[in-house]
Amino acid sequence: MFFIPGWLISIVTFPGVIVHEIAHQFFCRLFRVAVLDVCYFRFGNPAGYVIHEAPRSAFQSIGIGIGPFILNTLIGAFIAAPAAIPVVQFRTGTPLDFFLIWLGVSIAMHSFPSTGDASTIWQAVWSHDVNILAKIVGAPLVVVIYVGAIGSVVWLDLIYGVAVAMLLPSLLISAAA
Amino acid sequence: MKRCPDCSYPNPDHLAACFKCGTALDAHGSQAVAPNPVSGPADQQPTFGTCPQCGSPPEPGGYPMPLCSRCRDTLSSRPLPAWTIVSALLVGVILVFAFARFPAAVRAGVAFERGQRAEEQINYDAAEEEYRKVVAQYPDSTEPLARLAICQCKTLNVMEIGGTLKRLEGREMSKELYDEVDAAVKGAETELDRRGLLKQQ
Repeated sequence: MFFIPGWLISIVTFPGVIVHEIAHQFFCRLFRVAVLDVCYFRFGNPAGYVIHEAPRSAFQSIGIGIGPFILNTLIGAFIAAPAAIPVVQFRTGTPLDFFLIWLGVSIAMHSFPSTGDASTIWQAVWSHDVNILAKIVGAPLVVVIYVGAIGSVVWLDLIYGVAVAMLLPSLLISAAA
Repeated sequence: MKRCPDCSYPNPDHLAACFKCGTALDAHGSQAVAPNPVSGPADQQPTFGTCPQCGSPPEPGGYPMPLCSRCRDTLSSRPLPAWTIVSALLVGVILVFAFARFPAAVRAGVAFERGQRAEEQINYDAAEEEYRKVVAQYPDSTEPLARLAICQCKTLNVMEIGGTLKRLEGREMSKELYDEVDAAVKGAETELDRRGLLKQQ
């Protein structure tokens, strides 16, 4: 497994970082959670962050934590799909197609919540006011999020981004044909 | 970002008191301070949990941070910086553009997949029809055009095969695909010759 500095990956995929942080902030606004500080992009680790007050409920914590997972995945998939179809299926593509694929992969690969997000969700799931059913449903979800967050070391985020942006359209077409 | 000396909570620079526990972040700060009620002398303690932004009474409702309603509204609907709005709008425009291209791309993708399946089932007429849809949508794509040429050779579509092969001239393609097209053309020529149609043209 070869090593590429995190800052370089962040620069190359900066649109995904910005969309990720905007998604966090969007869900904070949705749940009326005070945002104390925001950094949409910087040359550092983490490349972006949203600091907000602790939400009142575990549901809100989970929503703010996994909001980027939903938004980045959907936006990345929809941007890349019309470009990925000719490139993957017909083995052809214009420079515009490759630009859209880069943008889609960049956004989709930043879908996974960070380890910080995972930690916040974990604490929310195990708080006292959460019922046992929510704990049973939430715990495996948090484990998956942790695996995704830690898996960036072995390029899991890039693999996910490429799968969402390029393989998903092909699978949908195979199913539709 | 200022770290709270008491609880280590990361606070934004403009705050004079920690959002989480109320501890003073900067003794020389010009903003109103809500000192830590635990650490201050008893007779100097402020009302517990005043809004660290403006000092107003906190909003009821079980919020973990003692923010007043107005400050919570302001902070939760914090506006995006101009460059972020421009970036978001740009992504939005690209998303709309992608949405507009999506149906045509899916139709072409489905047609190509159906064409390949029809070819596997030796149903070259159906495959030709499907590949024609793809070529109409993506005229610069070599692979669908080459597959269309192969199918036209198999169905002996003499009216169109010449035009399709002309469009393929000078295009780069894999050796495997080139060999397949070449074999199909030779097969069509042999068949036309056998029927005595080649000499008549």
